Amino acid sequence: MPILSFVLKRVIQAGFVLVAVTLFVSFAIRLTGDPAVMMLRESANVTPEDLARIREGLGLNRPFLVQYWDFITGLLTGDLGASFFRGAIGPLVSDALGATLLLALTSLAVSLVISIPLGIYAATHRGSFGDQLVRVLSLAGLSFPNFWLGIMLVLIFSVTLRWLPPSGFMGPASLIMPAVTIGVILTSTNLRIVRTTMLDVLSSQFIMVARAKGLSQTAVIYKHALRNSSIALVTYLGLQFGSLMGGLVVVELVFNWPGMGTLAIEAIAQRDYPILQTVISILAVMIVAVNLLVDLTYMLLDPRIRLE
Amino acid sequence: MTTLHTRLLTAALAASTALVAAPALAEGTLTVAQRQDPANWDPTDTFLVAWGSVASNIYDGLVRRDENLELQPGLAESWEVSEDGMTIRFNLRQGVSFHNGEPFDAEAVKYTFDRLLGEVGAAGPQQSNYTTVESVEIVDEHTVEFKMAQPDPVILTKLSGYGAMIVPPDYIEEMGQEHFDMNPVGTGPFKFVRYEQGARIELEANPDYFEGAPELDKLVFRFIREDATRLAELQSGGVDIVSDVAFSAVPTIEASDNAEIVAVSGPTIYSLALKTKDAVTEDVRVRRALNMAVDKQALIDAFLAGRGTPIASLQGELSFGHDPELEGYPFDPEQAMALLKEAGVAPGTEMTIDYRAGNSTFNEVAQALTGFFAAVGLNVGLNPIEDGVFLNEIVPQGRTNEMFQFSWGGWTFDFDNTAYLSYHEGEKWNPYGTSEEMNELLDEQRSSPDQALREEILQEVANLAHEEAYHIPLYNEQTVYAVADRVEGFVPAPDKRLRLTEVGVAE
Amino acid sequence: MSETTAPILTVENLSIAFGATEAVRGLSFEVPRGGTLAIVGESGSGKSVTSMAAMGLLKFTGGRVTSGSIRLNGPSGETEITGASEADLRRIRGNRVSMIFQEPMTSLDPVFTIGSQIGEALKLHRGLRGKAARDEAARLLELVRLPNARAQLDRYPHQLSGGMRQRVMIAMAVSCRPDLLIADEPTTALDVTIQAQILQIIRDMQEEFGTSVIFISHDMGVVSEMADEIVVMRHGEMVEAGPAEEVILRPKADYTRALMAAVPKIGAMQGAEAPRKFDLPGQAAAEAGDHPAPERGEPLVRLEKVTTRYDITSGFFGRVSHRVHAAEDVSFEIHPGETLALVGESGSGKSTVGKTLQQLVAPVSGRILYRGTDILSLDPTQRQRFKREIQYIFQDPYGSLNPRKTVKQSLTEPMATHGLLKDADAQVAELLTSVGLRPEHAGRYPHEFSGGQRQRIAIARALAVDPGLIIADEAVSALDVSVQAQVINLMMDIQARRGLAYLFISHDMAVVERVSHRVAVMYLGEIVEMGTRRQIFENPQHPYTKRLLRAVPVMDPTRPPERVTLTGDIPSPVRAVGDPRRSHGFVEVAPGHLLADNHENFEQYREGIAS
Repeated sequence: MPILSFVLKRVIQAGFVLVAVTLFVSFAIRLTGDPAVMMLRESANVTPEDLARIREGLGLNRPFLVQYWDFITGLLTGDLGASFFRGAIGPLVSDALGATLLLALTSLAVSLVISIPLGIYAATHRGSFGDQLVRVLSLAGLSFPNFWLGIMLVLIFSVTLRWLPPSGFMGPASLIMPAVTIGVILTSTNLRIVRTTMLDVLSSQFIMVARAKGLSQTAVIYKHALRNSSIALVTYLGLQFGSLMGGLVVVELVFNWPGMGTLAIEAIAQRDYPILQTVISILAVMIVAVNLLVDLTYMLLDPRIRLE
Repeated sequence: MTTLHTRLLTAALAASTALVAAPALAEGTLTVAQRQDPANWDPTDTFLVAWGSVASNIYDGLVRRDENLELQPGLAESWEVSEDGMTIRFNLRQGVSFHNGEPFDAEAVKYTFDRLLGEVGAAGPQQSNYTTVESVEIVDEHTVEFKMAQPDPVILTKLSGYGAMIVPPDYIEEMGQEHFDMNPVGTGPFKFVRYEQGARIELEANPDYFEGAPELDKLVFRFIREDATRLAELQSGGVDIVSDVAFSAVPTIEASDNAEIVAVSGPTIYSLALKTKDAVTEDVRVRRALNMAVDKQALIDAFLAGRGTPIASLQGELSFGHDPELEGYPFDPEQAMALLKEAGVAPGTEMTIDYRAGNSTFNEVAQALTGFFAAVGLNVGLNPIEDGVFLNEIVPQGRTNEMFQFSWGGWTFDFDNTAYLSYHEGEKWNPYGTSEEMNELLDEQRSSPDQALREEILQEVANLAHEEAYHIPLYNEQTVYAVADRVEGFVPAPDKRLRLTEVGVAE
Repeated sequence: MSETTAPILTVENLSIAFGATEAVRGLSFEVPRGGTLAIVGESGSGKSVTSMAAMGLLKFTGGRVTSGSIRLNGPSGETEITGASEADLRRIRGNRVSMIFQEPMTSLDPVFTIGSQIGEALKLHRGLRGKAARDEAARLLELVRLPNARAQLDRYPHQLSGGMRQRVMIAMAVSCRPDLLIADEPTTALDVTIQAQILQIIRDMQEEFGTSVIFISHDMGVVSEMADEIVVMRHGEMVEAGPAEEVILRPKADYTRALMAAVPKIGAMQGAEAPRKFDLPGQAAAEAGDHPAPERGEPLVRLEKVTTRYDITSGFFGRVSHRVHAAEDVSFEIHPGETLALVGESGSGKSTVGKTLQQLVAPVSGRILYRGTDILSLDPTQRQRFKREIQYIFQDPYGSLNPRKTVKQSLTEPMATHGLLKDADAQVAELLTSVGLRPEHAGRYPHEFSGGQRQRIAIARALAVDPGLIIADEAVSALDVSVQAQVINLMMDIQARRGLAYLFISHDMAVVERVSHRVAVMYLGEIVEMGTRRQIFENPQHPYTKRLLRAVPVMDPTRPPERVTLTGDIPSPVRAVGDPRRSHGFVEVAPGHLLADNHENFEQYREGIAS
């Protein structure tokens, strides 16, 4: 039962991570500003009683640990509670999470569909013109800041050509530009990873052995080499997840995508503690979950780890 | 960053506008893009201009303030204020219904104010504006009487404010508070249709509106946080009106051939408050010298694309209490230097400006101000501070440096609002105190129901503040909208409430 | 009839180039039908490249045939490999010609099971699928004597030892009954007893299928056991060719003679008391005099019952469940000027003893005395001095030299650390001269040197701090034979000059016989037999020592290879916590000749552990 024990271990670790992250976030955000003051900042004649009244209304007059306990038990029982300003958090977060995942997974899928065949091509035609082109393009892709690329796409495809809506989520067409913006960066890095690991694997002796058996180029590449390089790719994707989420925040902002990033930015602006706590907890859980998933995929792909 | 992005975009926009074809929007539908989603449509729960621009089309108050800041009858046809200012009687408009069919009557008015002043209102920011109201009494089905706890000279203006929007009692009781937050119902010219948090709210014309149906069939507000993205939506025909336009983008819109800039003097003024205690600025001569060191018009031209007016006191021209006779300190660096010398301030003396980080325009203004002060021999540094800290810790505790940002948008357009909080003892924005005389003047106008007298006193307050040079008043900002050419009849109100009953779109 | 007697493979005037560099020039040879042709040469001789060309795999390594022909003469006629289409080549590869590679650890795809990897060739060339393929794969594994053949099908390469993997490779290579089997250094990475087994299996397969073999090796002993014909190559050209007996016993070319002289031959030292340098051509005869005997008296180093173990954790709480018993109760002495050889196979613990002595790992128990001082009981600052006294040379000189430092920097650094730096330039020049390099080499970087030169630099670095003992851990194993002989001669010269002691850790019995004064044989962390070189090599007592010596290939083509019993692997030194130790004492069979007192139970004992 090494896998079960492994998963159990990781889930318990995840629990600790979650408590540590949420405790820190809940505590830290309360240092950054009082939502009551933020609420009343444009009001004249604010009395301390007004502030106290609002704090009480928001439940902020209770001790920090009581507030935290309510939050964490709510989180664990699936009751996400209510925002200070925006009603129930559950539907809010599930919509935003859906939008973010849609964007992230589309970008990822597109980037894999592009980067795997191109990376394989570049690796198997090392030094050719095509390989050079792939390398130059991936370097160029890496050099674009998300923000700049997003704005350029908007200028070309929305403002000038009027083919695509510049922002918001209004049908599948809205998905194209944000997904491409994230996808370009993802594709560029994935392309490099696929190419390098492929080159590495292709120089392994077992590839030569596979060729010596009389296997065709297709079987050698797509069966032996790809399976082996996918181990490195999966590891990399797991590591990339955190920065992918960071990049998503920027891209969501540019395209006004109704995702977790936009939600978090609004929540920060309003010092909406409940939303921010929830968003960050979910991100923490996701990062832990993705890493667990990566480890499990790893086990699936690599018997050396599975059967240790 | 935002400025950079906006510039980048505007530069590119300038190049691309020539290629832009006519917009292709649905007939009779107007789409407005604004920065923020207020996220909650309950009038008691909000303090955001972003709420007012949308919800002014859904709700009505008893009174309404028009584009010229004149009070007009709203859901009340007429009103009488008692001699002592302690009772106000409203005669309500008859035959009006809420969008859900529920009739509007005295019961609804009482319900609205009981709610605002009671438990529901206590959790929101609006209640504090209306604490001068003791209670609302029903006289008959179409008449109510407001009992005041104390006279409030601006109560009528406040009754046009957000918190005093009349809400439907039965609807709220039946559907519950949370449902109301997300599904607003009022008596206004547009009915709520659909709301997607963080993205958009859609309204449709209310054909039975008591002032007649609006021109438009449909009104959509979209919430787009990024400045550059809002403008891209305008340029690509996705929206018709963009609010919160950055000043740096103004020249580009002016140069484009399918949109124009529409601007109106807003409520917001910018100034630097001066530390009158335990600092070199304790000396009034130094404070005057600082005033003379600044060329306000140059700031407006450089950073506001000319969309602003220099001010002599902490109010714009539209404000009640504005004194057209009062002239600000002239821009006169030589005299400033003479005054500094007289006050014994050595050249190279160091001072610091505390200001709220995050506003890119004021950030640039602050940089320029250090240049003006350098020209009179002062070595002034900048200290940007995060909003929460600035508002909670620095200003009210009197822990500022010699100069600190004071910007305020008194939505009532009554100088009382700004002046009281800046000059009266014990107020948040007056950590260093002014004078007994000032306190008395402010108290006197507050308790007087006589508007002429009040205006006189407020002008005196402004003059006194000018003499003492408590602040360096800088400018009154205009509110800038970018409007597509197909939009007809758009007249923005100075208070940033977009009431779009008269607006239409070209076929 | 002529078809069956014609050579299976004819190579004519073959030239191969990598870019502008020629790797092979004008090579011609024939592989006799049913016989074995060995291609012998040192690194860079072009022997492996030739085998890739014969498989038509050259293009995947970046090389190309520039001229000449390679003709495969099979039952269905002749095929010109150099001109064949990729589709034709794929039908030939793994089917009519198959190959066994050097590194069994990396020859199998780590993510597929053994069964599926054997199945690939069976499906491709014999059309077998499903159960039929599985049955055939199991049969093939039985053929190469893999224990529990059927169960092995579902295992992954990493679950098998190197020897087992090489058996799988052989099974895979013979799965389609090839006409020609190319074995490229098939045993180089394996322990000597395992090597003997693998060679036996290749001979068995050859007999079973009548397959012709091209056997590529640098090891003359192995070649002598396997080959009918020998081709000697050097720098891409053929130096000499002929029947095995002729080439080995009566080499004609100078290079071949030099090569033979450099090969350590087991048994060559019979009767000699002292170690002896290799008699290399060009070396002054006077230099090859008697090697000085060590000083008896106070030992330089003395190990007393040193035990070193590594913990293996498992389970949820990381509990220690098993321990690697890397060294158990190891005791020996080394005298000044003496070479003690520590021999044994993988997992015997010989390297662990070296690391423990150099204080790289801490022992669980026991004492290490250096000139009578117990260095483990000293505080860290005092220990520093003993780190200087005991230096280390590793197998891979490239890995142990910092590639970003010049030779001078690498040499002066340890001197500075131990406060021995006086006149850097002069000291470096002297060190370089003493290892046969020139003082002007001081400013160069490691990559500018050959493997042998790098090992000389590593020796110079060890000498820099004037140690009493150098631990040479497989220090010459990675070197070509001729270079190996030079480095060994150098080490012996230095010993003669400086009275240095060596702990010479090696798996190569022939080299050990050449260099050592005394020998300790290790097996599963324990010394099983120890004595003078003559006692161990001429009168071995322990069954394991005997087995080890028997497994060493003898360079005598007149003697038919001895039949090897195909037992399993070397058992593992990993034991569960609480598993009772089976310690043993020693009997002194002759003065200074110690033998484990449980040697009679050896066969039983190893079966017990292995199971």
